[in-house]
Amino acid sequence: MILSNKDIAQVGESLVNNIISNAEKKEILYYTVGFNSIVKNVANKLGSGVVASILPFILKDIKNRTSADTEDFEFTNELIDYYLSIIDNFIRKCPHDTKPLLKDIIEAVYQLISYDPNSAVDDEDEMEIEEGGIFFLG
Amino acid sequence: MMKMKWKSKKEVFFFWVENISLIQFLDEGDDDEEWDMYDSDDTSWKVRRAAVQVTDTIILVHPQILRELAESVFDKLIRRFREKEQNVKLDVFNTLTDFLKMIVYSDERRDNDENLEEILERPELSRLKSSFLDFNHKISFMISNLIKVFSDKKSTPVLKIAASNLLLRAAKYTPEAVVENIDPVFNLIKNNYSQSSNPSELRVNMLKVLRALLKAQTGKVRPQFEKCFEDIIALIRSAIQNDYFKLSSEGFRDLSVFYKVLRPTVSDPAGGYKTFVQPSIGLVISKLGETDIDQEIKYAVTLNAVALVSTFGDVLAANELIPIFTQLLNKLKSEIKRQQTMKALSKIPTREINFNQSNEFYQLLESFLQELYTLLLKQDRTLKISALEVLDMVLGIFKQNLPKQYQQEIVRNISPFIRDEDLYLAQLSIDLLINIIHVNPTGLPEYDDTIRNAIALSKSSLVQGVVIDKLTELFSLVGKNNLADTNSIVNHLMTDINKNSLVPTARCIAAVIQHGGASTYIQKFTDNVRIIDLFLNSNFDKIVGFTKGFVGSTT
Repeated sequence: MILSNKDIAQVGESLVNNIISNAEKKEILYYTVGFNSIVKNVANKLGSGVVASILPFILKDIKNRTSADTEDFEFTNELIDYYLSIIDNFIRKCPHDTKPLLKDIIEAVYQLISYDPNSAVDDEDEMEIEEGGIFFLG
Repeated sequence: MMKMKWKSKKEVFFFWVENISLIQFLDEGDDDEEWDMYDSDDTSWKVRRAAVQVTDTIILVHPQILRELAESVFDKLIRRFREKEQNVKLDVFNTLTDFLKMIVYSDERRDNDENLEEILERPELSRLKSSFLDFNHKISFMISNLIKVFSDKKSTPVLKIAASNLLLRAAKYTPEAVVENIDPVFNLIKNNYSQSSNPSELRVNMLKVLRALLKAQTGKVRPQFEKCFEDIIALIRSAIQNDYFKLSSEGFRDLSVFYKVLRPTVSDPAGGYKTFVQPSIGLVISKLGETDIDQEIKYAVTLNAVALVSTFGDVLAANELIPIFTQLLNKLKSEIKRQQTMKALSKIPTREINFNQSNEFYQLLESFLQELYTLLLKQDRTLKISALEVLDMVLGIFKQNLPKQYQQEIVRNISPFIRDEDLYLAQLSIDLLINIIHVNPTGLPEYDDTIRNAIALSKSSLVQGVVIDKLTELFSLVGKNNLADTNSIVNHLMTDINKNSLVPTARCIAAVIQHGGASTYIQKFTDNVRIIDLFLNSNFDKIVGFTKGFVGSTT
């Protein structure tokens, strides 16, 4: 890697700002794809500040998008897929920085494992499974 | 084309991040087919799959929260067994497999190498973590749902293989939970194995699951297994006769474990041995003699024959034992199969083997020992080690029944290894010699030569650790059984003293004196208790001092 950690963090911050400021626009997907490419390779060099600013935004945005009525499912699915990839890479490469957010991440993942906006009926109800419920990390 | 001027490397990187990756994305987007797919297909499965993958990562990176995950996400994952998209299901199976991996400490090599599992008869170094308790009932529930995946008509072969891998992992790590569903699981094994249209990998996995369950069949679940014995042996026989080498070798491995399952029934007149083992022995012997079969089967059948002898050696008839050992001897003579056969043979425990000591038997034993002596002369060190181990096994089987001339031959052949050229070979040889002395403590003329070598070895500056312990044990036995004149042994030990091996030599002298008397030297050592000893000027004085110390500390 030619760039210093400081430069990489600057790039990361710039992309995070672009993602947050374009939350209402389609362009958010492009910035997310770019940020995902960086996170895949140098997540550990972005610094805890970047993790602390992007992960809460991603988790909140996932919640908003999955609960909102939208017709553009393809876009939403694509964006959430990249969001989850970013989360995955951060957990892998910055386990310490992501630890405080684990509870929220697991809550989001719990919902998304059965995510299907096209399905009117929750097919899971057919299985007789004792509901464990969401836990809370101590 | 527009020409760009870069001010710094940083600017280049910014450009790449903000533009190149966008261009790449847009390029991908230009692909008409892909956009068409967007229009027509439901892509929500990508989200579900990514969510499952994040769960997997959390399991691997933060195993300390497995309990909490078990309370929530584990059930949710099991629900995805009904998922319509295969990719998601495959990731669900993979994630659950990782769940299982994280609740045990286990040796991964053993999981991946079936032969290693059989060769290493020691208990596996694996144990369940405490988080297992939070999972146990859930695993049983997972298994009951996993069984449904196999019966689902929509399940593809790829999916069934992935499901069978998860089942196998559960059967290996948490067999108690799988055994709770033994009837449906056994039906599943039977059905999926017997369908010849199923992929081989799936059928092989079924045999592996069966083996894992057979290993776990003790205590409360034993009666449930007993009622399945007939079906199990029918399945195993079908596997070992299968043309596909993977199935055949897995079948032999299953049969090896099945022997152990049947062993407790051996004293029962209508026991499992007569009903299930005896009819299969002919099959094992004939397969053992086949030459134009795959190496994997050859190895599996060799291990199987060894497992048969070590489990039922006391009940096997001579007309069954002799062909087995004749075939094993042939394998010893073959350079390719030699190493594997030796490894397998050295694992025969010292359970009594009911040999009818006929001429045929002695002829076979003679050829066997001759072959081992030949191997001791080979350059290959591993062969020498295996040959010494197998000789020890032969001695363990026959003990006092091993004719004297064979004992003499063994001592003659191992004597040259008692030297400091290769200390591991020396250690094995001394160990074998000790065992022979235990069997025949009255004395053989060949002992003199080995004792001479042992005296020389004790003076070597290279001797240390286990070899010293073995030498001490040997000299104790020599003294105890009066195998040689103890005064003369001590005399030899005390001449040409090597200043670098005072401790080993002193320990050997102490052992001889303690167990054999060596009256002259005891007197001499006692008379010499003078203050001057404390100065220990010469090597002789030092040896005397150390010896007195060892005698004192162990008396």
